[in-house]
Amino acid sequence: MTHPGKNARWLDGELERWVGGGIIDHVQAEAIRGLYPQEQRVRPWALIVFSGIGAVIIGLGVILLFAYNWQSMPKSAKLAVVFGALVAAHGAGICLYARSERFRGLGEALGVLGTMFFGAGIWLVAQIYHIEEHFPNAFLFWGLGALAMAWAVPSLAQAVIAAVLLTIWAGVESVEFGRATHAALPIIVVLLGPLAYMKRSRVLLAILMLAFGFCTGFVAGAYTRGDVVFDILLSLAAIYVSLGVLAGRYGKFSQSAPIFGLFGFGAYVVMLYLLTFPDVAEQLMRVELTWGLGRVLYWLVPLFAALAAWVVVAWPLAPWGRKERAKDCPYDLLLIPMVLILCYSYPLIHRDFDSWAAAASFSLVFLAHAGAMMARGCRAGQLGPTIAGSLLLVALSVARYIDMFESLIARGVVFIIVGTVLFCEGIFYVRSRKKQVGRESA
Amino acid sequence: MRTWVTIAAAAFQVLVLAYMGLEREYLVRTGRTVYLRTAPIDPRDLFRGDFVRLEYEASTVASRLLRDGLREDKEERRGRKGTRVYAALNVGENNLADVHYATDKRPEEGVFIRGRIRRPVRAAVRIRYGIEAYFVEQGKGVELERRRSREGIQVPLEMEVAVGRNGLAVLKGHRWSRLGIGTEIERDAEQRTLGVKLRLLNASDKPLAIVDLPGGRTFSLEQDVSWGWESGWRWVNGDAAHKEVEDSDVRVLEPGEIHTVHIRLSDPVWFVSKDNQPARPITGLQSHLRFRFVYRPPSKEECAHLEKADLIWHGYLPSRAFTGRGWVD
Repeated sequence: MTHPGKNARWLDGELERWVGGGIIDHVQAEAIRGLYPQEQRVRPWALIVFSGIGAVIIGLGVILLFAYNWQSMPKSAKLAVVFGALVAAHGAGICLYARSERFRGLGEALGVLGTMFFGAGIWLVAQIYHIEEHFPNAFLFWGLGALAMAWAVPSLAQAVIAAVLLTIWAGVESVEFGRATHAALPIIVVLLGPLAYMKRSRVLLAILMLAFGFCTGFVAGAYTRGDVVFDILLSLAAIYVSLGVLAGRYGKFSQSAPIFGLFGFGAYVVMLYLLTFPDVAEQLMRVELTWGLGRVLYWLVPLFAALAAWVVVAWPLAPWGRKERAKDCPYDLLLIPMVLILCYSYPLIHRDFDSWAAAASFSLVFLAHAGAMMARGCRAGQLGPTIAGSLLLVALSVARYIDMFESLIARGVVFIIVGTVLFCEGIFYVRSRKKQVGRESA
Repeated sequence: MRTWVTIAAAAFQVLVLAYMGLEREYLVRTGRTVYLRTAPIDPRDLFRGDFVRLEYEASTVASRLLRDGLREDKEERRGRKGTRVYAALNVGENNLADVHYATDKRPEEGVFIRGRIRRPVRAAVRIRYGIEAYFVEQGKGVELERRRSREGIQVPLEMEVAVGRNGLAVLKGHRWSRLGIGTEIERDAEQRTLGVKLRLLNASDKPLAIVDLPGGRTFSLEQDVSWGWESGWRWVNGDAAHKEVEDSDVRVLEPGEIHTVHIRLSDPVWFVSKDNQPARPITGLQSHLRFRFVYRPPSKEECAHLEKADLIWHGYLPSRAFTGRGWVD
């Protein structure tokens, strides 16, 4: 018996309505249904999530239980329990998963439990033999074990565990030992990214994006002394936004577009906001130009990758481009690569272009984004961008209230203007929404 | 699901654990067993109740014992944190080992343990060997802490270590030193440091003999460089020979019995010097300079003619570090 997901049920309902209304025929309906793989419709997420959480907690309980380190238990017995639990969990998981579709969720959960036992086993064997080696290696091997299971089953839960563990590994190596774990970055992109694509999993994609962002920060921070980390993360955010546009425009994983957009634009907006403060901008954009090849590559490669991606995004806007493809990219997003170029070139131009001028430029860009989101939301009758744009406008006003306007008159005028804008926006939004509802009813 | 691929992935997890355990188990069964003394009490040791954090005498290697790539110019840091190093060991009485030298090149022969540089400091290098945690049953850690210090006298914990041919070390167990040493500063009425009172405790359950030469000459005075301050201070009588041992110099201690030796730091016998400067008492030195007294009885050969030769404890036993201004570690 299948368990159609919520989205699949909605799609089935809509397809029936469209066929009934003569909009499409049965052949077209089947073709549309075929775009969404069957596995997406049968994942018993509730079972996997709760069983997965239960497995994690059981694993932690095992660690705590054995942490008591019963002296009465001989070493051989402890090892037997460790290996026995690991083999039993994986064995039972494999049997159930292979047996029938009905037990797949339970089988996958037992596999997660097995991976938790693997992690517990690493710490317990270390305890049994009093091993106090380089402890980040434990997270690395634990993560690789989860990675192997993620591909073998295949299992999204295992992939999430692998991403989290490998991020912890990179973070601990960087913060505790000052080591740059360069391998973490390709592992996440090359070894885990394809799994998210294959399974069309937005959850895994979101986790991987966060993991890659954190790992980039850790690795770049350890390798480059930290002063270029902001530039690198800004480039990464720009890449994420561009991937959101491109995923929606091309490719078979268009559902990933909002995920890329949310994380990319969210991070970009936060960093842009920081750049609107002159002192902060001065600190964040200051880069000591002492060159080592590795450091240069770490600094510039993300910039070039981001610019290349934005060239592809903006290509339809060129005279020879297909204009209909440009509609998916709001024009204000094209400010992103410009922000990036200004940020990267600041070390070269700061003598003629001080931090106040740079912060003012960034403030104008921030204002442009806020206005564009508000306009876009009102026109389309979408509450999300309307509110988000309004919040950006208010945040910018508060920031400039603090550092720019000393005169009460100036402050008062700005607040009146912002308030008026928000008031008019509300009216415009309601009107737009009414028109849209009217169109839908007709 | 690709069943065989999944089995292989699960087998990978099992094999990782098996490799961890088997490598150490093989070492425990076939490796050379030595004892490493834990360092005299350091207030920063953490007894967490379920595991004991250990610091060894071998964890701090003075710069004069460094070789090969670790012997860099004084202006440079000797090796980066995380650099692989090897500590070659001298194995003495009762299988107790100390560091002969440390190098970044794997020794061709002899007993050595491998580790990584934890922190290079000015006059020494701190090394981590992967055996700095000793897991015990919950609550037993406090018991270990209590036994380390008896009546204010430190009894060193000696860890039983199996060492492989590649330098990998595994903890097997522990024992207590048969002899403990206590360190107290003796002051005058105005609280100025006069000398040091050293107390030797028979911490075993059998009679044990110590050698107490006149003037405390069974002890040597050495600079402690574990905090990495300037090195090079030497005891003026470090190379002087002591008198021949007689039966009257031997003291038999019953289990739990303490023998006390008083040393006056104003006695020129205990002066120190550096770089051919005039000898000085350590009470006149800067407060950051630390020293230890080390109990070193004459060798077995030198004691062979004595009546109680078979009871004499041979080895070396350092006291807690102290400064000339009267601070004790």
